Amino acid sequence: MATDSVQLLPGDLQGARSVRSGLLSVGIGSFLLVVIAAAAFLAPVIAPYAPNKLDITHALASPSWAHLMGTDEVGRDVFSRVLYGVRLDLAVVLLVTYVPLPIGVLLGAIAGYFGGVTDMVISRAADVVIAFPFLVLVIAVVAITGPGLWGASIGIIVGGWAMYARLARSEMLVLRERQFMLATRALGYSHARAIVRHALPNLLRSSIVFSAVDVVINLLLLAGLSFLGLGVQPPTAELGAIVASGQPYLLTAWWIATLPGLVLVVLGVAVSMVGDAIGDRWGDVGS
Amino acid sequence: MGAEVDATIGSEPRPLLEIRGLRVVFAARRGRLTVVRGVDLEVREGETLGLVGESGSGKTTTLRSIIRLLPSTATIERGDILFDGTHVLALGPQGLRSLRARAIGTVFQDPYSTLNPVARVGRQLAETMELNLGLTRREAWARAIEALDHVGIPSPDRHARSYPHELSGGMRQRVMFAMAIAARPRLLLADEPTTALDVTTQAQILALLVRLRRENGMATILVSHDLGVIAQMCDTVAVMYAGFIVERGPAREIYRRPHHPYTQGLLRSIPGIVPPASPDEAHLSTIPGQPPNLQNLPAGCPFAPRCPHVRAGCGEIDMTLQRAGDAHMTACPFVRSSDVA
Amino acid sequence: MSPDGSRPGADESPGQPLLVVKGLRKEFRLRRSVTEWFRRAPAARVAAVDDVSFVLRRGETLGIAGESGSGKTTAVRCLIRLVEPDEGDIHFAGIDVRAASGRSLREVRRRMQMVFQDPYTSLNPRMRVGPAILEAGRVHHRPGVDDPARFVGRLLELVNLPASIAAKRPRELSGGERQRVAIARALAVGPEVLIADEAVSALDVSVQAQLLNLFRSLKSELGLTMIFVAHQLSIIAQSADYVAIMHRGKVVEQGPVADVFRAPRHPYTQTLLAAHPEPNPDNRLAILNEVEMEPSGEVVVSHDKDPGGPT
Repeated sequence: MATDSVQLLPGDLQGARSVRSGLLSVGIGSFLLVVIAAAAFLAPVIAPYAPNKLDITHALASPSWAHLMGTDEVGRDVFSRVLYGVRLDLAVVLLVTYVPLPIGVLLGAIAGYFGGVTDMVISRAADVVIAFPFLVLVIAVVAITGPGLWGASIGIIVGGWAMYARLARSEMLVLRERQFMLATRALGYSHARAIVRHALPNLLRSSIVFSAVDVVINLLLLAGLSFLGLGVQPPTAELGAIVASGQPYLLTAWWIATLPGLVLVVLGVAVSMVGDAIGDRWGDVGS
Repeated sequence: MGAEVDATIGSEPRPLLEIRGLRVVFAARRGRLTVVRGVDLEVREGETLGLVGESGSGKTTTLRSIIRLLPSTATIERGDILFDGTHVLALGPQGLRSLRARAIGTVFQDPYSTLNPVARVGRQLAETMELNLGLTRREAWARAIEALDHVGIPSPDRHARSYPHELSGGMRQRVMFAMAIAARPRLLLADEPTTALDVTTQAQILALLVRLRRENGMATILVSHDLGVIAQMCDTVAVMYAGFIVERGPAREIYRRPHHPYTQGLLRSIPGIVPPASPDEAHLSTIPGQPPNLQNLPAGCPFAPRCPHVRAGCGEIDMTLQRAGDAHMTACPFVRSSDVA
Repeated sequence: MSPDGSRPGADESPGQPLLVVKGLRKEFRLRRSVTEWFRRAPAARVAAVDDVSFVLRRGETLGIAGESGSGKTTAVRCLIRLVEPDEGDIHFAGIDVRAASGRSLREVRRRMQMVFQDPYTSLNPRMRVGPAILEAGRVHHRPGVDDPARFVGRLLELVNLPASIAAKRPRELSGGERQRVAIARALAVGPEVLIADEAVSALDVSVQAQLLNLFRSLKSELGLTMIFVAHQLSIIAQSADYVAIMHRGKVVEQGPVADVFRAPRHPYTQTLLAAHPEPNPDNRLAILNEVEMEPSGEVVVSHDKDPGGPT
């Protein structure tokens, strides 16, 4: 087929309506994300109270102007704890998502490029990791490291690289046959150059799109682990931990569990919206 | 009243298909893309019209507009399409479906866009017949086998049970033709039907098309970038560039006496099958420059930047076709050809 | 003169055999269906390239013509071992290509460069033009690479592209421009042989003509030897001195272009030429005017051709 005009990619021909709705979701999503991230970053400055400041006399106070989200069972200001909690969560989640990403993508790329034994070894390793019930994996890691943030983080990292490896591997299998990859061989480039300089930049896109989902998953994972007592240890403020501590008071002091939970949900949705928009924009993955 | 007026003198039968002032716009991320810019065409009963052009010419979009098979990002902004007196653009979903099912058949370049890869070929054909001809399942199957035989597929009952990927490219195209003509349409639209095929297979498929259109008395619109195929198959030829028709006329006229500079350049740049006798003859005449960038066309004639005959007035012309011979129209008011041997 | 200004050596005069291919063979094994696997039936083999031999002399252009499934692309990919041949001899400038490895293989690949068919995928979409061309020169330590702007500029000029193209990404270029960039990249390593594997097939006719002229001028300016792979005979007719016609893995006819095209001897070549649609409405293919047609509509060729098989 003779097609000589400048290529229009799927993102270009997006209908006007879907462009608008895309912009809307990017707009709202990024706005929320920026607000929450800014609040988290500025926590030390804007938090009205120290997150661990006890004040038994005002324990279980309902939300008021003095305590925007009320206080918990030992009188700590929930709002301040939420601010510090989001701070922790964001930092950890970014670490835990974007450390395994390059490792996984590189391993997957190597597996897909060389095939054979290399592929087998890496793929089976990834399969084992993915097949393991995630919580069991984390518990195993935590048993070695002891409970706490480090244990939970390492657990998530160990579990996280495999998805990226699989993604990158299957993309590489396709990419390898593309003519510009054949050209690297025809031009006499080394394998290392072909993989790192040429393949990786093309493989990263889909992994980055996926990472938006991964961030949300890891966020909930971290919160869940802390809720179970495996992650963050008291008295450290973390969204899941706060929700956990509020559980016994659900009927009486509902704000302790519910409001931080809401913040968690909003954060997750914001990240998803931004991730979706990125995914739409980079819809030419594979073309 | 005195003498009877001879009904045939001076009166021409109404064309089967008329397109007037068609303008199609795509909504692109970076703005609007006007892909078809004011196209007038007509096709008579039994006539084969060739639409020829390169990338960005708008020929495929023009074809698809006839049955309104455009992506959601495209809008027909202006124009009239009349098929046998019916305003196609005013048809509701029922009427459109009927048009596509019975009156106008379509064959595309890539059979996979029409053939379901996970359904057997015979089944798909029979299904079309059940729906469009109101046959029973049994009748439809029998007719499907007949149709496959008719388009030249050997052992039709065996091949009817095949999946599309089990058939060769040429056979798949034959199946496409069988589906397209199942309801005996009066007009066949063929968009690059042989472009993906080998040249020997192409010759077979073109021969098939010749036979089918003769048997059914069908009119045909054949879209192709291959000037050889167009020359072999068409009565009338319309040359498109950047969304405009730049020249239109009988095939012999267009190839022997091209008036528009683009047509002239195009015909000269076709590599011939006769090897050059000497190295000096080896140099191919070309049209300089790049194909048009639809988002950034100059005012007036879009071909001006590449035209060897460009002059001051080119920026003002409005690309309406002007008569330059017997039924031969060109959009260029300045240039006419002397015979191109 | 090569882009770096060096001239070919004294013993590398035109007309000497540069690439000698004998008995090239490459088989692919077809995937077995589940039932065949159960029955342990041996996998069917297809000889994509079946006993192909030819000689390429310095300074000439060899055209390899064939339809889909003829094996022409597999054959030329064997020449630079993008595909590993199963059998046969490939000798390039005296070097045994099949035995080469590591540095010597890289050197063979430097001297025999390939331009691929698809302008949309033959360039790395993430890389700008300038760096892509420069990288090729750097990897092979080409002279002049220490002055990147000049190195790239000279190559772009060779392929008739403006220097400003160097900053662009492939998606901003048209198909013809991309192919020119691919050619520039290939030339950056200073090859003696250029293999154009259907390099103009995906382009518009007007752009095709420009590229064919470009190949011709590059050939004379740089003293290149060329292999042109194409399915369109007209392209071969206009660019090649010699032609090898391939069908189902075998070379069925070869010789000087003028001879083969004017007096084809093999029935397949005759069929190919007869099927070519000439852009002349006054000379319609006899086949199209046949009033009586075989019910199967098949073209009859004297050797076995299975109309029902997959391509």
